Amino acid sequence: MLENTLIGLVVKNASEMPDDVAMREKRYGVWSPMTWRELQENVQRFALGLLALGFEEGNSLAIIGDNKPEWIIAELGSMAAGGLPTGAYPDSLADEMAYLISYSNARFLVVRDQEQVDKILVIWDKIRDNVEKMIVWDSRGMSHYYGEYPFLERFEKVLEIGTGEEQSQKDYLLKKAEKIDPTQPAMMLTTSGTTALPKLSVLSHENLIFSCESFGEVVKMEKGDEILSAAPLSWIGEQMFNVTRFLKAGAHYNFPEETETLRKDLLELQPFHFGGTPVVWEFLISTIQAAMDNADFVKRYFYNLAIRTALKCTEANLADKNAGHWNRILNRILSFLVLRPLKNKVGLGRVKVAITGGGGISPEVFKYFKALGLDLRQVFGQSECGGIATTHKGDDVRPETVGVSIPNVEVKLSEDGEILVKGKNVHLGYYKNEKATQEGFTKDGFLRTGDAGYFGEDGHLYVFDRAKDIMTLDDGTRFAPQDIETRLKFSAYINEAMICGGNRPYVTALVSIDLENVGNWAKKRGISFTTFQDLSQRREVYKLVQEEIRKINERFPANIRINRFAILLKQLHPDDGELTRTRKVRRKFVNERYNALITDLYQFRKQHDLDIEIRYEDGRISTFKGTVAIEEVYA
Amino acid sequence: MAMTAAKRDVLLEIENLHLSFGGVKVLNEINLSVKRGDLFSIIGPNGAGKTSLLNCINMHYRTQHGGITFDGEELNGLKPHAVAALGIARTFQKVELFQGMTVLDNIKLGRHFLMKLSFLGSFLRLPNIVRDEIKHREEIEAEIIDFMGLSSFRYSPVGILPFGVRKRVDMARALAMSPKLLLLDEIMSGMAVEEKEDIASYIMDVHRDLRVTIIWIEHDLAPVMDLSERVCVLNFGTKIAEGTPDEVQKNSQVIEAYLGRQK
Repeated sequence: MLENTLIGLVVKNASEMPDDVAMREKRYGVWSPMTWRELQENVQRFALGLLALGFEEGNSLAIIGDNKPEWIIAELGSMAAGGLPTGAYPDSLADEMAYLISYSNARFLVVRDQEQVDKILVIWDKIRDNVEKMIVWDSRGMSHYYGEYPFLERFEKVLEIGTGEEQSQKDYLLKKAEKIDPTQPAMMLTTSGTTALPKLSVLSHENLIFSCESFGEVVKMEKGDEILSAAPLSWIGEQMFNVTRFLKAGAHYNFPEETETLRKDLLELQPFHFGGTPVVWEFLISTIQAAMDNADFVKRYFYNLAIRTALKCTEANLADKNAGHWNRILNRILSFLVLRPLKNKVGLGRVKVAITGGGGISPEVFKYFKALGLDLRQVFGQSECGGIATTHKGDDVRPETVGVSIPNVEVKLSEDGEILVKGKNVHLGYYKNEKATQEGFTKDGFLRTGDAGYFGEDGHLYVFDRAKDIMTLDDGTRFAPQDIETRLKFSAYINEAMICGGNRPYVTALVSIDLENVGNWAKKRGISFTTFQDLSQRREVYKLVQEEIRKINERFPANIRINRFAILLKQLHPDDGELTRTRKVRRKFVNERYNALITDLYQFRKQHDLDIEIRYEDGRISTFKGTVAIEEVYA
Repeated sequence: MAMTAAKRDVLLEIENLHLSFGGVKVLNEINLSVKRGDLFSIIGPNGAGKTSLLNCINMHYRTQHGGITFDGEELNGLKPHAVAALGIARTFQKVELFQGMTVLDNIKLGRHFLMKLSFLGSFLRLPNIVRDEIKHREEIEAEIIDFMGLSSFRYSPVGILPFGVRKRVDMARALAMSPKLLLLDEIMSGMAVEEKEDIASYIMDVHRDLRVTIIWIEHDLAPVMDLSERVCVLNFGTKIAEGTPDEVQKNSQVIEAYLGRQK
């Protein structure tokens, strides 16, 4: 019974292994543990503290901040108090937070530190009717705030109030855990919002635990496995694959010191399971490649030899072919001597199974990590289906597919090719949006994912792209822009890309370069530059990108090759609304913003005078002007 | 002798201070008193004697004349390290850190004189020495590295860090001495706007949350006027004004020193 709710799992683990480590946080330079008993106490105290402060059953609570144990305590605590938690991305702009807070009807906010408090204070007038208290868990440098803003409360204070309440309600959490109905809402998570403002998907305990169990039949997480909290906690990926799984399996959930120390912390911890969006994997490759570019000749030679051999063997394996004796032996040796240490250096040395999800990954990126010896598997899912519907099973891994449906989940296609999902992992509905909820289901009760795809002969699901995003050229050729984009982004020099070509004669691309890698490349060649803008418009950089695109073009049929491209003067950024917070291109928005530039791409102009509005991280707005060159790509 | 209440409030008192190098008069008849908990700024044009005044306070320069009292003790005649031991720490205009050492090691050095060390004890790593070291390390982590937002640079050599971060490390090193009085010497010079905003918030945090009295020398007027409680203006080695930022801004001599005389 207890194992059917998230709160129940906390109670169960705390009674079965009270002194085992539940979570660790790197604080003051050391990994400080929190046992299951302590976690249970904190959750109970936070719940009682909330109730004492006026929080009522059925209220919502929004959490804003980086990944820290307090996030989990606040989340589980509000659940235990009968509330409905939700989370915002810590780097969201004030306006985005205002939207989420009003939409979720949050009565209480839990935020990390001064940075978020300052953001919320800007929008306070918009949300003050709804929000009663803002609880802060890291009050560094904020002593003068508390006198000034009476609605602020310290996290420690809430726990303290809870400790007082605890005297009369010793077994609050246990009783609560026995009462909670697993089919009732547990949390609300934002949808990705590539096409519109994000909605909140309401998930029940059952949804999450079912997803976790079903995925667990494919990939098992053991008691005591180390995992690292790296993806945003407001994202289903982190909530399902890490939070729910760690509760279910009794694993050790570790929190980095700061977002900036994530890479060092990953290296120290060497987790057993690791997952990320394609952006994370692309980022890892970029750092490895950049490091290798700067390495000495011998290292570079052996790295290149090792990765080439490993890729050959991986590709042969995936195609069920034989790579040949010599390659196999060489691969064994080089993997042991070169790739294994490299994997350790990245922090993935102990990973049993790694997953990628939340968007299409380029087959090159995928194969690269397979070659490195990582058991990487794709997951297809979204908030609305508990984060997972299909995944690769065992050795049956193919880079172009997202695998097969997980046990007890039904996946099929609608007549026009939309992927449909049915199972206990499918959410209860969208918060306060009955219409969208109903539109999200077919007549026979399947969830519409909004993604298009097809089943291959091998039974694997192939995902095209967002169904709405498929483009048609003037000559009638249909293509998925994301396919080309993911391949472009595989280049170490290209950070983001957007493909245009819908109702146009040919395909073009807007590209933004990777500042670090292109910067290093330029320095080595003695090309001087001042700013990102300056670097992006250098002739040499255009040549570099042109060559990269030409190589990628070779992989596509002639009619959907990139014809012309322009390098953007700034990186595409979520603050400017160009990407979602999970770093997916918001096509419609970028199309509108760069409309004039895109038009010029089709007018045989050599350059374009750009004039757009941009936002700084602190919310200031200014206009941004500059000249963008337009180049052609020759076959 | 019982101190009066007003006297006890004063942390640093400078009376009739003169400093000259040969025939050059650097400081002339300076009188100042800094209260406990003040954020006190000293401003003035180039060569007004601001840094010289700081050098006098931590006894790096010997004054010809006049006395400095800190927390009821005469500083005159003390060596700089003895002044530091009394609780006066400072940062430097041109960051004086060990470039090849890590951030953590640089900060630990600031702590060094608070540690109970002995040659033999450290050599043999006696338990009490190890305990003492761990205690100090914990304090450094919690009160300084975390407080100054340096956790992501803990093991980076100072030499590879951007200038703004180095200044923060310099400040952290000074804070590691658990000072009663912190002297900041043009901490914002050479910084970009964003770095200035950053360091300003750290100065405010140190002042407010750690309750350290601060004497802050700065060339740039805007942040000083925004943040300080009291401001003193020097020109050609002489104090020409003292008061709240508002009072000082209206002072005709100050306007003249900064903008020149109106014809």
